Amino acid sequence: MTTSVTINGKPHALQADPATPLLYVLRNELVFPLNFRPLLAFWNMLYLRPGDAAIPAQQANPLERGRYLVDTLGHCASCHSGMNLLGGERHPPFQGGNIDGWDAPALTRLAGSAAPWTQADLVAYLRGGLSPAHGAAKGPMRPVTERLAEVPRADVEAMAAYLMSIHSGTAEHATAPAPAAAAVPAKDAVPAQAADLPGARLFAAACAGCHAPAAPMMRVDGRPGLARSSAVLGERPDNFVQTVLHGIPWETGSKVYMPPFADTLSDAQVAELAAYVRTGLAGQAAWPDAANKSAKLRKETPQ
Amino acid sequence: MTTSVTINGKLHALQADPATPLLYVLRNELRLNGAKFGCGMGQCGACTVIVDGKPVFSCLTPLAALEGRAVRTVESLGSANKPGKLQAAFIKHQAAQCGYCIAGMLTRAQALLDAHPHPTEQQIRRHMEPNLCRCGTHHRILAAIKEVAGGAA
Repeated sequence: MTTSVTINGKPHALQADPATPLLYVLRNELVFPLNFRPLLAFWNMLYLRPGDAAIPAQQANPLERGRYLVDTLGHCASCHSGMNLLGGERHPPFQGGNIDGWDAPALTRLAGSAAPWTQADLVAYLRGGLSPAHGAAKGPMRPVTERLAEVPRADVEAMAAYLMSIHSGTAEHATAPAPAAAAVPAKDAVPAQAADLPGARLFAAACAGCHAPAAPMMRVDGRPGLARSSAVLGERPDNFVQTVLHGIPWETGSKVYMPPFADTLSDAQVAELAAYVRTGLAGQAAWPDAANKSAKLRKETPQ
Repeated sequence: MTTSVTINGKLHALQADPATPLLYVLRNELRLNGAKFGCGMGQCGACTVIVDGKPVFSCLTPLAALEGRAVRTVESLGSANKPGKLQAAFIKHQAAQCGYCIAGMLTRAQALLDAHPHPTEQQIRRHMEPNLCRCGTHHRILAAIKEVAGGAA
C-alpha cells in the first residue's frame, strides 16, 4: 500500500506500513543502500564487538573499569581512532583521527609525546576542560569534558589510568613506542632566531598580551606556554588553525576563552603565525600546509 | 617600514612598527581616540573597529596584518555636531552611562547593520555578545540598535 505525502515540498509515494509513525518514516526511509537493512548484519559482522557481560566495579579493578568506560560509554575511539570508509573504527585503535575539522590526537603516546602527559594532567583535563600543562579542550572535545565534569571523580581517574596504560603497554591495545619527538624547550625562553620570522610581529600584537612568557595571563590558573600546548605540538596544524581562526567561545561557567582572529588575519598570516609558534617557540618541524588548511577550515566553519 | 592602510576612507602610509596593535596607531599617531583600550585581550570590545566590513578587536590587530585593507572607526559614523543615524539613536535612548564601551558598541553594531540592514533582535543580541558594558546599559543599547534596524523599538 502506498501513502502519498508531500515532504519539504516534494511528493513522496511511501511504501512503509501505514501504521508506522511519521518519525520513523522520516528517519528510516533512507537512500539506497542505507535503506537495505540486511546490510547491517554484514556491518555488524565486521565491526560489532559484543559488550562486556558485567560492568567492572569502580573499586575492584580501576584499570578494567577505565577500559570499560573508555571503550563502551565513552566510545573515545570513535574520534581518536578515526573511521574507515564503511564507518568502522580503524584498527589498531587510538592512533588518532579527524572529526568536524578538528584533529583527535593519538592516545597511544600520551606519556611519550614532546610534552608528556601524566595521569593527574589527564584527570584535570578530562574533568575541567583545561590542563595547565597542555592546554584547553576545544572543538568537539569541549562538550566531552563538560559532561565528564559531572562524572564521579573515581571514574574519570579510572579512565585516565586506562588511557595512560595504552602507552605503557599493560593494556591489550599496547603499541610500539612512538618515534622520539623533538624535545620542547625547557622554559618559555624565545630562541633569538625566532624573532626574525615574519610571524613574530603578528604574535607580538595579536597573541603576546596573553601568551608571552611574561604576560600576566600566564600566571592565572597556570596557563601553559604555547611551546607545550597540545595544539602546537600536534602532527597536523588543524587544531592550532581552528583555535586561531575561531577562538574558544566563552560560555557561562567556563574558565577558558580566546577571541577569534578569522576577520583579523589572512590565511597567509595564520600560516606565518603557525610557523613562528611551531618552529620558533616550540622547536618543532614546520607544518607544510598551514595556509591551505586555514583556507579550508575558514570555509568549512562559516562565521 | 611603511604599512599602507585606508582609514575612514583616506589612505595612510603608516610608519609605526608593524608589530604595533592597530589601537595604538589609531590613538597615538592618528589621534583617533574613539576606540578605547579596555582589557587588551579581546575580552571586552571597547577597542572594536571595522576592518573590511567585519568588527575586530583593534587591541589585538597587528598593523602588519592590515597592508592594503580598509579600517573604519567610530569617527566615520558622524560627529558630535552631526551624529550619524546609529549615534543619534544611541543619544535618543540615552544608551551611554559612563560611555567607555560606546565606541566599540557603535562600530560593532554598524558592521552588522551594513551587512544586514534589518536584523532580528536575536541576531542583534548574538552579534553584540563580544562587547561588554559594565554599567549595565545593554537594554538601552539594544533598543537604539533595534530602532535603526527598523524593528519595534
